Amino acid sequence: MTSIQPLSAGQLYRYCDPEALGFRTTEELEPLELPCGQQRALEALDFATGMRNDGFNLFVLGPAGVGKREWVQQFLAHKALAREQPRDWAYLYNFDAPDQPRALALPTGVGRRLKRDLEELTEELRSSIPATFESDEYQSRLQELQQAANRRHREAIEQIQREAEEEGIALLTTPSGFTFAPKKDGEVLSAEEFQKLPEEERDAIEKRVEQLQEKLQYSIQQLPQIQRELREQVRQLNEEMVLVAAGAPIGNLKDAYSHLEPVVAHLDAVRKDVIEHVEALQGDKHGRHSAMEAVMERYQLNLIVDNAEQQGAPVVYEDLPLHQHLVGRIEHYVHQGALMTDFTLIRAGALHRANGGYLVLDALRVLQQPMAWESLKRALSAHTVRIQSLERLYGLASTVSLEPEPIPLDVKVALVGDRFLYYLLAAHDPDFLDLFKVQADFEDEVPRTDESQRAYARMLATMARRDALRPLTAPAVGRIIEQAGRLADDQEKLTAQARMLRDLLMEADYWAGRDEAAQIEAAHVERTIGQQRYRGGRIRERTLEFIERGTVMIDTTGEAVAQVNGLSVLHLGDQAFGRPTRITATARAGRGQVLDIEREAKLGGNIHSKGVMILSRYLATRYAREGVLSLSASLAFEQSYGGVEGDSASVAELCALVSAIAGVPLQQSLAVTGSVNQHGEVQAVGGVNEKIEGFFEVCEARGGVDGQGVLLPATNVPHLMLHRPVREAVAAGRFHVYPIRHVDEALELITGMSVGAPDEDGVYPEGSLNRLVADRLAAFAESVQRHSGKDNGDEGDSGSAKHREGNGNGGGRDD
Amino acid sequence: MAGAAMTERRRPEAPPRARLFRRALIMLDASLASTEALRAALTLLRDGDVELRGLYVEDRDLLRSAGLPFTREVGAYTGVARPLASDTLEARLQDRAQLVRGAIRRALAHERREVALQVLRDRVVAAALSEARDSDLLVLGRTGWASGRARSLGSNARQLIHLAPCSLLLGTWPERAVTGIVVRADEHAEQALGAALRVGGDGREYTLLVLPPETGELKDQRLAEITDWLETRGVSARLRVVYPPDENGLLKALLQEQIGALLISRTQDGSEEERGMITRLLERVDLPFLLLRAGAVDQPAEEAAGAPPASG
Repeated sequence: MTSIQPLSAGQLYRYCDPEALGFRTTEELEPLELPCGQQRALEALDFATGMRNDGFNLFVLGPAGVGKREWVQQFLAHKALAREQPRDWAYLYNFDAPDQPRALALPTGVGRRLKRDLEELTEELRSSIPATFESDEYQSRLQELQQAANRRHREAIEQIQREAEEEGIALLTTPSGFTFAPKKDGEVLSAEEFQKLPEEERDAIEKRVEQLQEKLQYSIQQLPQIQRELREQVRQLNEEMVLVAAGAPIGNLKDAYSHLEPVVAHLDAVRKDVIEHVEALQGDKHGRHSAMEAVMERYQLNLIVDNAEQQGAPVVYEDLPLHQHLVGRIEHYVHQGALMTDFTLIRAGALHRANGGYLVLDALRVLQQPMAWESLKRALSAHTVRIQSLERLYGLASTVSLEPEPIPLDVKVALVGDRFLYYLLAAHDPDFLDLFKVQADFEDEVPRTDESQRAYARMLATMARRDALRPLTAPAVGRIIEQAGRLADDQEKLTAQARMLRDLLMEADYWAGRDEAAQIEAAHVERTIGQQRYRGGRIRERTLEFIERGTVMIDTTGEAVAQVNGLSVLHLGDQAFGRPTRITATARAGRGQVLDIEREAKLGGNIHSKGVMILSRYLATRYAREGVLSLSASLAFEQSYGGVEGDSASVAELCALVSAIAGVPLQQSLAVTGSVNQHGEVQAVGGVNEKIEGFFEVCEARGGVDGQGVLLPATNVPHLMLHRPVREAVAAGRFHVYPIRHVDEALELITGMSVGAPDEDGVYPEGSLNRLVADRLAAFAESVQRHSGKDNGDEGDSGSAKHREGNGNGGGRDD
Repeated sequence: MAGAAMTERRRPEAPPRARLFRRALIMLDASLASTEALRAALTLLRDGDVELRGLYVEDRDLLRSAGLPFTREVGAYTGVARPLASDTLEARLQDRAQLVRGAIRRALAHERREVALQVLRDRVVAAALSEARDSDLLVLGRTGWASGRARSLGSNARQLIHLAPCSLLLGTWPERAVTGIVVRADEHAEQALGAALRVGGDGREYTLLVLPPETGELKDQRLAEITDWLETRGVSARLRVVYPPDENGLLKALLQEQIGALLISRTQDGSEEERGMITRLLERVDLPFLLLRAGAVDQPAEEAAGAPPASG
């Protein structure tokens, strides 16, 4: 019989020596600029930011709560400082195609200046143009031109009238024109009077009238030409006057921006436009300036990206990545019931603001927003940002809108999301890996070494400073590091869950404040951990209460056949706790079937089923290597009404089964966890700390801890970070934690019997546990043989619910 | 003056606007301008019990000429020559008369008033002058049938500005517009102004355009008197001295003051020079225009006698 030694108290926990940290308080520590233990992710970030080729955008993946986004932003901000400030971007009115505003790139900081200059220009034009056109000079010259044109026409007709009068012919007005009539003594001749005239005279009059008519026709037909000339003269006059009002200020601006050809072109267009819209620009004294403002607005600059105060390249985080927040939008206003817009209502998106730098986005949020993912991909593929409204993309709106000129895009996008999302996109979106070639994978945990503990302390110091918390003493940091080990469920790892640490720090600071302490002490950290456990402990306490009162039957003393204390873990929110569960077994003669009741009741998961299958196979191999396992057995988690998943109870189930077959009682003071393989080796399971603590608390509640213990896989020993009460009980010899490597060790400990090794013939020694099992199975086989003629199966058991000679199935419970 | 100090500023009770004119003589020819003139007369004389008479003149000379074998009509807009036969012209003139009647009917569709239409065969100006009396308001369009595209003032209108013995309304008369009242700053200014305000009526915004006398001292005195006159009657009006006191000065003032209707009020027949100025002005600016012969308009007794306004 092997003698398994329980673990010492020192093996149950890894302390952090405050002295070894090398500081008194975190005030002495330098801030940590990069996360510790995340070298892989940091190198990926460094590579992606240095790589200028297309598609080398980042997907930052890792578990939630490690602070991926904050670290990425911090890293990128650091990198961005070394890069050049990007250009300013603006939109200008397109005088040739008003619905297609022009994009304008300007040297950094020039946008703001140009915007101000154009505002000042329009302000000046607002006053100088009306003043110029109200001037006596302009008014009189305009009147002169109009009069001259009218006079030309009128005089032409009057000249004809005079000519006619001189020759005794009157020009008369008809309902729609003019006519000529010969006169005599001031009176128009009638037809009869005319006929009385000599023929020669009649002919002369007729000829003359014909000539006059032709002249009159010609004069009238000249009017459109006169009006065209008038318009041209007025245009020239306007241009001349505009040159007075606007020439100098526009000229000055052209000089100032002569190195920027698009700006000069815009100013030329403004000058031309002013001339063409002189009437609108004159305004009026009754405040009806809408026409003037509509014209003036076109001369403005819509500065959508102003990098004047940007230090280095921009790092933009868009927390609501809607389509329009990414690619920008065009706003509208209501005018006479219709939605209208113009180039001044173009608004920048995150891609515009991040252009020339970095854009950080939450991957899940991008995917949740309609069209946002598609728009982002299109922008990255095309290297341009094209502003198009969602409603137009969907064809839902037919209002007047704009098609702003796309802006060239040079941005590095960092998508932040969990691993599942990354692999999902990689599998299902063919564009994804083309556009996001670099993965920066953040670790869940970081190795626990002396060096990393010191870096961890610096990280805590940085967090405390950033959140304006009290400094931490070295013991407090040590306690947090221990807790970080516990959160990682590992003596050699520390959790990378920055969010949990930050929450812990802030709460510890709160308790320190309640104590009016200047620093966060270890006691405050301890209190925080206790409070967090207490606040989330309602269900744990209720469970414990059920066990204590016997409602849930758990024995922690004595012996029982076919009954063992398994251990399970319940995860509720951010809390997890362990509890013992009674596992029972039955065994009788049958045809090699192990019935998993959890599975049959559809309460067991696949992994649990797998565990039961393995232990069935192990039984068959060990005890019926040459023959048939004539066993009909069943396993159940008693008083379990929820789902069961995981294989961590398979060692316990095997113990219960062996006990049921052999009729050997099991120690109820021991609880068992661990999974078994087909060779009987015990394998590591999860949640060992919670499981041990859960059983320990039950023992305490049931009348005190006195010799109880837990059997756990030896490979789980490095994962132990047990609470102080357990450690103290172990140190006092009241509680034991046994590391086991093989199921035989578990059976020996829990039955108190030697398992027994087979001799050369495969026969187990007399008095050994295996001998009892083998004998009982042999008896089952005989019984089966006796009844085989009249009974071909195990009554009541359905084929699908059984594991025949280890080929069965099983259920599961959370481990 | 103590009495002046005691003067209570209040708007005078609305004087009866009836009988501002004895009669409105509306020259109608079915042209758009004459139809507008008809509406202008109805607007201006809305509250008054004024006889409305329409006058449609069939041009005698035109009818005579239409019988000639070579007569052609040259279109005022197109310049195209068309035959003009006598019988056709007769028919067209009759059609025009029908159109005039139709225009009157439509204009009076919602009115209780009547317009008596008189059809004459004569020359237009001669007919108007023979019919018009000094207390009439002669109403006509700025241009007639063949106004042409460049003519802002027809020949008949120009002649009647010079020859009409009565008040004259040219073109439209807007219900609401900044109305410029032009008065000469002489001893009759208040009378002219009072008549103009009564014709213009309440609810209008007025700008008073004063043609100053030549003497600077006299000018200041007259302006002060006019200002007092306005104040004592509680009349709120912008006052602007027109300089130079000619069509150029007026034109500048009209443009700068955003005048929407022009009312020239005078107590005596204007000189040839003044009539010439008005003609030149109206050729340059297309504004509703009322030339008021203030002396002929019925005056409240005390105003006519130059008595001070009511005081409290």
